[in-house]
Amino acid sequence: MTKPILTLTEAAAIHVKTLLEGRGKPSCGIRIGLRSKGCSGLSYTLEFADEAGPYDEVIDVHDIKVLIDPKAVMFIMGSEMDFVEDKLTSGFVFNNPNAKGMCGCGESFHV
Amino acid sequence: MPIQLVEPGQTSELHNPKKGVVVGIDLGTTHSVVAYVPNKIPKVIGPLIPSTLSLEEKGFCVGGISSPERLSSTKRLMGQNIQLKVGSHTLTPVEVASHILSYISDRVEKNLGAPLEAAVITVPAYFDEAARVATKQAAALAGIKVLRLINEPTAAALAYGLETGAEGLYAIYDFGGGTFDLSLLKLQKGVFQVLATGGDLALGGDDIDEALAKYLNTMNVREIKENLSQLETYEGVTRKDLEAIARPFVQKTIDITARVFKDAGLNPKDIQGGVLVGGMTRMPLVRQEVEAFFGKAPLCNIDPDRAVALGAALSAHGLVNGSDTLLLDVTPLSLGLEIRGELVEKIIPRNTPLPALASSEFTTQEDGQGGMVIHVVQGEREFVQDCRSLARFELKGLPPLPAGMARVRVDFAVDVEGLLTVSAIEKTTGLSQHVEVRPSSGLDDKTLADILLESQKYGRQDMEKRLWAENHKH
Amino acid sequence: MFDPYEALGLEKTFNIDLNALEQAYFAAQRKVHPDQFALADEQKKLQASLQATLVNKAYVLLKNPLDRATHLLEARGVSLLTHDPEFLPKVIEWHERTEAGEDITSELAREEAALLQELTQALEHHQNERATKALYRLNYVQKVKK
Repeated sequence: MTKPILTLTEAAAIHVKTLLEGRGKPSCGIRIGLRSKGCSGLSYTLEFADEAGPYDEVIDVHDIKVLIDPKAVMFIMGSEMDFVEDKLTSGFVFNNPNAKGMCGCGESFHV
Repeated sequence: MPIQLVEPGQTSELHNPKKGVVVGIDLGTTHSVVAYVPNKIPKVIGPLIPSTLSLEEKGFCVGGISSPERLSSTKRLMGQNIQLKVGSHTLTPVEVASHILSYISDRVEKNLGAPLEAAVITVPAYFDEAARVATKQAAALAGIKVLRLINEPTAAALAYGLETGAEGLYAIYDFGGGTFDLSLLKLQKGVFQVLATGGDLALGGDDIDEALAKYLNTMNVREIKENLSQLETYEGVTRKDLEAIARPFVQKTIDITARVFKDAGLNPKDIQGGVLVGGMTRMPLVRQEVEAFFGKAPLCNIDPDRAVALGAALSAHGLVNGSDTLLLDVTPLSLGLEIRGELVEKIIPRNTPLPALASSEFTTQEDGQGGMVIHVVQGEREFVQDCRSLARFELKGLPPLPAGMARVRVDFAVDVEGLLTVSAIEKTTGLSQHVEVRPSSGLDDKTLADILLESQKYGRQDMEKRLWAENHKH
Repeated sequence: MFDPYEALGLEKTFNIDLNALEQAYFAAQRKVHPDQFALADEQKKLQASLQATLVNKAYVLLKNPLDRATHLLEARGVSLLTHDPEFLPKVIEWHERTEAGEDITSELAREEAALLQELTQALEHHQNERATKALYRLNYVQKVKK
């Protein structure tokens, strides 16, 4: 039985769909990637996807096509993508059970 | 800090402007090798990498050979649920392999200035289901997309065939650090067809090293062994001493070779020659025995250490760019079911061409029996206890029927990588009910997965579609 | 019913040129082998796997003369023989002689060759009863050989 790679909260799904609609050009979906940054090593990236890269993992969540860079797959496994907003900032966050350490700035994690 | 959804390319530092590279990786017991195909000719990227992992100040270090506290030759442990100790850390064999793969990934990026996008990774032909899945897990951990796994002798044959243009029947005799594989192939323009294969996962240079170390009562035997390939004596040890130690192991390889020929219905004289792959084939005794068996000198015109990686690179290149080459492989081990408590009924015999599908029907023993246990094993023996347990699951939720009325069909599908998917359908009352299980390896062999037959959820959907869809969702 | 001849585009005869069979097999696999669809979507990959499986099944079946004969007879709606009392004394004799330590391999080989001839002719002339008998005996001889 395979564990879902990624889940989306209602809030995240709604915001993604709104942003996709407001983008102004056809999209394949969204693409999650990984990059090194910050004190603790890695952080996620989120982009509109024009088309799936040949090696991307493709999943369908809440009728949204989510493409995941192979480098990110194992790290993101079992994560939940959420949308948060407070007085100062708003945006997407990943609640990642794999992340063993979060650095103080909350920007990056290491596994 | 929350992340914003931006246009492609807006994320700084994310996209490497250079297109990624597709490679072939030989994850060997003693050495790992990575190769790619820049201009139709496969090339190795950098030197051979010792398949070792040690703990240094800066963290895990791959390829070191000096640290006494290092993990090495963990390949034959793939698929086993054990913890290996290095320093104060414990790792599973999958994690060790993933570190080696990460190292390879970094090397590719450093050497070629482009990220490693995807790879074909090789496994011994005789690797079972658990070890194959473990290899894929290690790749996932390292962030490497696996195009597919291919068998080491087949990869070597690909390198050999494409380089020499050879046609006809060939044997690939692959004797490495930890494992031995023998594959018989038919090479024809653009076709590489495996006729039969066999091997031993616990038969390699390491075993000979161990025996030699016991005999000489010393640890540093590899150097002695290697030098005796060129010299008659080295550090007080003669080649004859070494051969006496090595002989029983080499004989085992010849016995396995004979069995594979029998499986294929062929005689040694029917083939063009034996192609030598793997470091152990440098030993003069090995060459002598191979020559004696085949009745002709073995073929050594490919690099025994690099052939597998070169073949894997060719395969990777072909998968991504399209190719005229057809690779037809077989399953190395018979797949069976436990019946009557201890016997094995073979469902897919060894050397069946892949992909393959076989079905078996079961019924209930008692009135109103609500479930049944299905135990899938891999191996050639008659008794369950002598085979490798792959998956044991209990089908629940059978419709209440008198004994012998239920019709449970279990389908076994093995794909081109040698990976198995099991699926079951209960077909009474005309309603299609089915469930699937993917053997989860790297975990406890005896894990019982309780699967509930769900009637409405899958409806009349084609069972095969579900089977293969799950099979390909990593 | 699964038709291996159709799967490989071959004429439905018992006598098959093994080289032609192989070439047809390779040609069929070239079109459907999963490796050709390594980067395709799941649906295409699934289709490819299923078709390649059937092509393999066809090849393995047609390569074995007894399986080939069995298929041809079943396709004609002929039921296969389940026992042959006339043949039994011979089988018993073989068992006895083997137990007595005699090597009957060459005799079995001759018997096999003769039966194969018999089967071929019977199938060609659509003499179904004759064919099922020859097939049954051939299966038995193979078992005895093991």
